[in-house]
Amino acid sequence: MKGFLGLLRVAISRGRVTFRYPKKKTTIPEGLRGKPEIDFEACIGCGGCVSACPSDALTFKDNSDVRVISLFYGRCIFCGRCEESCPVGAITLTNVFELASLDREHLEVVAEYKLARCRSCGRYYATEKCLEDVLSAYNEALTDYDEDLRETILVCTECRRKEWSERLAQTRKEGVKYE
Amino acid sequence: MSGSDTIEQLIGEFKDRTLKYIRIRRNVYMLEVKKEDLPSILDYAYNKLNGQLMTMVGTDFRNQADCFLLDYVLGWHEKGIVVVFRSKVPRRDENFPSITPYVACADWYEREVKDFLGLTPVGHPHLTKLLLPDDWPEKSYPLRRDYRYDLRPPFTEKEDYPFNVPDKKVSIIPYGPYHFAMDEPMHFRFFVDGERIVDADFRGGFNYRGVEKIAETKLDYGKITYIAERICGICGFAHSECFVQALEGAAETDIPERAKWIRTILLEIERVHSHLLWLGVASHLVGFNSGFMQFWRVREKIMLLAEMLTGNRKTYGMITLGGVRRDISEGKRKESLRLIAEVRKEYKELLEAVMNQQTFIRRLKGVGLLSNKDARRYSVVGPVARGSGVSIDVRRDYPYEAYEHFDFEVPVISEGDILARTIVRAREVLEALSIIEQALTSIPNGPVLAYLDHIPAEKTGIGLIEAPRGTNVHFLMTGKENTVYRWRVRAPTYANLQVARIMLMGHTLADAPVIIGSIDPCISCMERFTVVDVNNGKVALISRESLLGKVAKK
Repeated sequence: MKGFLGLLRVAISRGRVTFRYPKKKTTIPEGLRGKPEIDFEACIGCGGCVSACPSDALTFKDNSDVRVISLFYGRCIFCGRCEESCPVGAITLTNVFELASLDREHLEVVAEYKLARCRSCGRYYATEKCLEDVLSAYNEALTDYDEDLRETILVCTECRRKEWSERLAQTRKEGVKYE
Repeated sequence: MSGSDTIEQLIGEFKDRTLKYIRIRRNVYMLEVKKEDLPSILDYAYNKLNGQLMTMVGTDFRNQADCFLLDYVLGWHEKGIVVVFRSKVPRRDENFPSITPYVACADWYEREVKDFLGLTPVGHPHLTKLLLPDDWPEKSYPLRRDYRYDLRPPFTEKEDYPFNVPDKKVSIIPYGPYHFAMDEPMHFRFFVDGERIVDADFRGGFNYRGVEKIAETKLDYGKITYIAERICGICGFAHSECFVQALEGAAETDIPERAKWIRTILLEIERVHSHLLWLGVASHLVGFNSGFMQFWRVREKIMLLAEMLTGNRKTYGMITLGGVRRDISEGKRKESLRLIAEVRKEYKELLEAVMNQQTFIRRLKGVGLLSNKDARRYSVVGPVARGSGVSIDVRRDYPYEAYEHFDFEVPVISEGDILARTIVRAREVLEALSIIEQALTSIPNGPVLAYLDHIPAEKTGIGLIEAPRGTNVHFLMTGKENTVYRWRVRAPTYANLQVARIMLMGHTLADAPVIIGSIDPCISCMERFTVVDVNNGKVALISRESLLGKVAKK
């Protein structure tokens, strides 16, 4: 009996701590890792977040001339790696955490980006926005940039690799030329 | 006797039978022995020298050396050393002598090797499936390198697991995987004589999702840290910490002091929340629901603390290779200290009230007995071991992160019943609160992230963590280009659930839920649940497409 009274005292003195949740909102602390939101205006479609996502919530698919980037919240584990890896800061983890939905479509956001062709082989290889971004960074950083270097951005990785190895072989053969 | 003495004794004893002897790290040694010598050597090391079986790992090493590797990891807590006994199993001869007749707790490990790698432990007393479903095709071994991670064998209705039915005349009561008095998906068969449980058998694997396979084939180090955290919903942080510890050990890197402190604080926050959760659940299992509600009320403050420091109530996502991702600001540090003081006050007040509840205490006293001898024999870990008088605690015996800087006690009680386990956990909460306070007041300044260089391939790493439920062991072999070649997770429940049968025997059926509950079983940990959070829970590996197809159909 004594024991029971002790617990009763604790229960009464601490009172009720629960509240009617959906009607009354909970306080959300600063820095909560909630629903990641993509600012598709800023996003350049490079796919960096896709390769950083541990749970494949972010995926991309290249359908001939468009790249489809999709974020499926059903798989998201809210780790925030996409936010860390985004080169243009287009992804932010908001403090929205109430994601339950009866419809699967509500949990998916999709964006399409136009792909650019490789100057050399003609294959689609990177989004136009991504190239624009890289080129403008180039223009800003280098005042008298090498036109050659600029050209290499406009070819795909495969061709670039081929071209550079050819150049390297050329240099080996002929020696470095100083102009 | 110090650590090196034990090693010398081992080496001396088996000089003519040791093929190779290397010191991997400060306190980790590796002895390579012939597979034929495994039983005799491990019998000596385990039974004569009182080693503890920490984990056992099978690795498909056929591409490199045309063989499979078997690693038995033994630890000596009082000396703080770990010894890996490695043995090679050639490709042509896919079997090895079982050590289970000598080392009882090797039972599950060896069955798992049979399930996943197809190596037969010869002489194993009951070689049945452990984690794979009954309808898994023959000669299909998912952890071999040539098995594709997204391969899905077809479902069948086959159900033929041979339970160990005792010879005596008994009634059989199936219990689980879905049962109102069980909060984890596992299946027990109780063999009862009237109300008394005469014997029991276990069948698990319902939650096995193959996180190791996914990690070995699909993910890189950076990703595994987060996926590891999703192994368990309660002690996930301990898993990511353990993985990172194993990896940082393999890479031989050191992390900044401040990061160590932050990791320690979070590990202890997790312990407090987990133990309070357990105290609540244990109260609930014996029908003491006011205890359940009150413990969870106190726990809520800890959840808020975690949310404030990490950005999430449970999956902290704080660990990254080489440090932590978020720093603790001065304001947050002060607020944390205030919250901890509040939690301590409320917890003490509640604990006193609960420990005076005679109905609660009587349900726990003398129930679910585990003798000190059995606790040692089965290498049980965590509060279950400490409740049976086995004084082991990784934080004290193999200090990691910042633990060596703090004063804390390891509560050990020798009664071996559920009450003992309850008291151990109850005291550990107070110790953990004290560690958090010490850490928060003494946290050094500095960076929280170090640069981690390229990690070479084929390095072995072992992570040892005192998770809330006991010793977490992650065994790791690094691969090429930032991937793991082999990753073996041994959660504490894996070691503790093996003794559930012993605890249950002789007790009444009504006590069964709380006896099983007293281990604080965490099946998702044990079976390494991850990646997918919606499915029917039957098959081990599920590809994205098939899962999405399933969801879409509904």
